[in-house]
Amino acid sequence: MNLPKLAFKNTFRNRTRAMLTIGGVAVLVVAFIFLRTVISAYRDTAQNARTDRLVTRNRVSLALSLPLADFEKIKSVPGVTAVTYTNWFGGTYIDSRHFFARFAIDPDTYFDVFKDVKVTPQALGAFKEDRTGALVGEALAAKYGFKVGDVIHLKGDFYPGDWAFTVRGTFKGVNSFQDDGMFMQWKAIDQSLPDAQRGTVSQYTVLVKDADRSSQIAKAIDAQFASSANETLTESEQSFTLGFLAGSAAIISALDIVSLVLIVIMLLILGNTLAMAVRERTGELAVLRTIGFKPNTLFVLALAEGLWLSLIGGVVGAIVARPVISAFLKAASGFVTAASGDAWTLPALLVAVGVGLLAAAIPGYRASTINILNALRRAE
Amino acid sequence: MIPFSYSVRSLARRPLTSVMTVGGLSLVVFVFAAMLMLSRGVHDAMAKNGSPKNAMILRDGATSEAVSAVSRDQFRLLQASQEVATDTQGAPLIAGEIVVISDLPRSGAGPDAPGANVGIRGIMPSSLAIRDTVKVVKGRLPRPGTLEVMVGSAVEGRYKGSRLGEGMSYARREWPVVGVFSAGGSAFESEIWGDQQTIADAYNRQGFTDVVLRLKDPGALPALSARLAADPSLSTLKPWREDLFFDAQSETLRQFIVGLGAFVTVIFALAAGFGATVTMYSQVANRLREIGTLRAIGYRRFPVLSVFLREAILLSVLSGVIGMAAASLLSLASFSTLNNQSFTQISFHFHFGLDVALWAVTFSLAMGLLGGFVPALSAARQGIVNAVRAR
Repeated sequence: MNLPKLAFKNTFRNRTRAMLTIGGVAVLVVAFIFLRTVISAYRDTAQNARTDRLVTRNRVSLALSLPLADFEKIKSVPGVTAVTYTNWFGGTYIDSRHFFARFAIDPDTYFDVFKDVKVTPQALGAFKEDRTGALVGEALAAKYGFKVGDVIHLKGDFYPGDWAFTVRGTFKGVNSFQDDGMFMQWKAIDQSLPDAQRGTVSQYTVLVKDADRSSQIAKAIDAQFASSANETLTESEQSFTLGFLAGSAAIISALDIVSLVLIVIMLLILGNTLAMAVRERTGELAVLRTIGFKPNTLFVLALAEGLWLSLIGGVVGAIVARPVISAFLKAASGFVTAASGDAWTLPALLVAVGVGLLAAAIPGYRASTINILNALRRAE
Repeated sequence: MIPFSYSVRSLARRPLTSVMTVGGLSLVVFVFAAMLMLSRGVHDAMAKNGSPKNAMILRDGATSEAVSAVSRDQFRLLQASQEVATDTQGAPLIAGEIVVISDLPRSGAGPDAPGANVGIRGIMPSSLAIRDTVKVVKGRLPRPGTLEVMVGSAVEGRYKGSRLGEGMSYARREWPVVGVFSAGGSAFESEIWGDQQTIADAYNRQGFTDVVLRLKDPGALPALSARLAADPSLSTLKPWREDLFFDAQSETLRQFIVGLGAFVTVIFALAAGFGATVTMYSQVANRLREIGTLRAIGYRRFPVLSVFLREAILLSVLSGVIGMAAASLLSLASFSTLNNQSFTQISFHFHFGLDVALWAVTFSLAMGLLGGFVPALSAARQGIVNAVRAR
């Protein structure tokens, strides 16, 4: 019998205890994968943001708009290759629980700036044709089952009234927030406003030729409007997104802490089980030492037992995590955008295994340093 | 009956196992209590924000105050409504307000650090009579027609220049902070209040975002609603009961926190239950001989069961107290996050109370009993002969 096999047999000698420990580890692994998935759904939005794209908005507040007349001025700033403008449509779909991003875009310029947003020429063509058309993100389409030709009814807030948009196609967004959102035409919503309020945009997005010069270009854009009624604030898409997410930073750090606490609890459960296993087998370990096993071997034996427990628990947890996470994300769709837990499966397994080894350290050390004589006496 | 000290000493004989079990359980209780305190805090902040005696009038379809609009003409018509209560001088208790969101730098942050979206409310003198939970705790009220502002207690010190006597700069103006107000722990405390007209001018706005009024009779809301719908110049407006409006404003955030709290608690309880069961089972397995001896010298099954159950209870009550005590320290901290419905920053307190303490200890005790009962039962059911023979 080789060492891993002996460790495996040892692991399951007390079947109830092994099962309970594996159950505990599995539950914690599910929670760990889940929390990390939620956290990275927030963070990947910022990580995918680019430095060669700039966002220009009203310096006073994101809630205030800029005149459409700024478009040409921004475009004429040296180093700028393309400019587009978007408005936050807001509104309500069914009720506040069905929250997703709704942007009014200019279909003629949007995809020149957002080259990484993927849309087929047919879908884009059909969208441009229809003043009340909409493009929906792939994640959003999957969530609500939107198909081409479906009508999405929204109740407006910034743009009052009842709105109906016809789905003309889907797009693949650059991050989960965008992919879980929809586009409508800026012209359609602008025309719904009274004359005096028309021609405003929430933000400009600017593509620059050279990302290294983006901070100079940002300053040059802001300088254009320094003494105007609507001063601008231009920053890279990345810092804009980080600023946007900073509001929820407290929740994210709380989740971070909870996910660390999960690891500590896993450590305690595994450590406890292994400590018991070693204590129970004191006599047996003494016999092994007597017949020539080295202290190191006994240490490794304990480690291997920790490894088995955490590995099996981890694998069970990873399998269970998939349906649990997709069910929760469906229920919490108002707050967390679509994400899948797959990316965190392997890291969670590694964490579990690491914790298993760590938890085995003290019991393993005890196993390797037992006093043979005392142990044998007690075992007799 | 077997003396109580027997159980205490048997725990003390296995310090490593006992400490690990208590450590794990108290962490679980800590997180459970923290989640409970947070969802209580969110509820406090939002439900206390409004009074059932007040009505808020917004544009129909508006999902938050900042995206609503009420014109001056509409406000004048509303002032004359018969549903509005009057103060002792006979003036109607109604105020047109403006809520704008401003991006303010946090105190101590560098020039490039992201700011936070803070709600700024332009009020009329009558606003304070209507919102009677608002109390000036430091300094004084801002004078009408000036740039003076008072800040909520959750704003004070959190943003640049937000302390009493300092000045905040936004919308290209300097706003002297002349007062700090509290509002019974509600989300108003996360706002900055100043003069309605001055703020509207600074933000280039016409009219109001919403209107708040005290109802003569709290049951008059349906009548007001029907009258607005029938009047062609007011039919774009919709009245809300103030407390229900603010409650609805935090719905997704609250659901998220409560849902997450429930998820985390269930996971932790399961894990802790497994952990406690493991400990107690192995206690039983390790002590078969002891169990056999107890039975052989005449103790019946029940006292044996109670020995093990008492150990489980001891462990869980100890963990409950430790976890709860640690969580109570959180009530010193507050938690600030973005409400994605109103798009403004709101602070919550972890609300610690006797009920939270009781829940935490009960929760811990329940886990101990669940984890300890089956092993204790198996201890009581051991046959005497086999148990005495065990190694």
